[in-house]
Amino acid sequence: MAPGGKHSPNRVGNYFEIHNTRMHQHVLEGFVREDTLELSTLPDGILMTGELPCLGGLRIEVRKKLKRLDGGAEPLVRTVSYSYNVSVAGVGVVFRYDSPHPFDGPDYHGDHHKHVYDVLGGDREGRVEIVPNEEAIPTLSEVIDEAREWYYANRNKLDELGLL
Amino acid sequence: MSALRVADLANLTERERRDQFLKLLAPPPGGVYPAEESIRNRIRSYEIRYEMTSAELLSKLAAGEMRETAEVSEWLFFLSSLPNGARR
Repeated sequence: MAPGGKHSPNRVGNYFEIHNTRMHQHVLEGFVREDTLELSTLPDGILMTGELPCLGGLRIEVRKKLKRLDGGAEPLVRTVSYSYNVSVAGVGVVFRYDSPHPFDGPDYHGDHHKHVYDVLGGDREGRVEIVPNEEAIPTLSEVIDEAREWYYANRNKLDELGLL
Repeated sequence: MSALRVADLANLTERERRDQFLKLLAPPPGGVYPAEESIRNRIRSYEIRYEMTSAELLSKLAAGEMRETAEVSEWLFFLSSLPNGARR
């Protein structure tokens, strides 16, 4: 990751201070109903998991691993893998951003990628878009922004389908 | 310490927050990290539900015989999150 970039290593305290500031804004704004994310520890890092219930029955499932780069109470951490899955409860997935999967598989497994579905059109297969560069790899806050934009763009359709 | 709500950190002073991280990051008694145990349990539950081992899942994905659904993606995430590398 480029030094000084949005995905650069950060001290764990700073990292979650930024996270909480942004999440507080999303909750105040009303799109995210509650921040239920939790941290737990692995021998080599921190796992952040949980679900963010949002307006319109949307939910964002968050799975993220931060690798611990040094010791102490305020270690330097950096995101090494993530999966942000945005779905409409009871309907299907809208989109999902995944970090590269370190396994053999389709070509996109080696790249940061996004699965996109026409969920309100009944699409369950979806298509995959490669995230073109490091700057385009989203932060969780940017994923929430994208989910919110999708919600407002599709609000009428959600309403017609009785999902609001 | 098993888990810490991220939102709760916002209500703490800098010192309290630092203490929380010290507790969170301290090696657990017995050396078993709850998150690691929880991940292994999640992986076991997928293997039972899909009636295949994780190795079989990876083979099927590599062969294009299985679609990467949201749940499969979750399975892959947890496999790659285990500290000793990508596979159990």
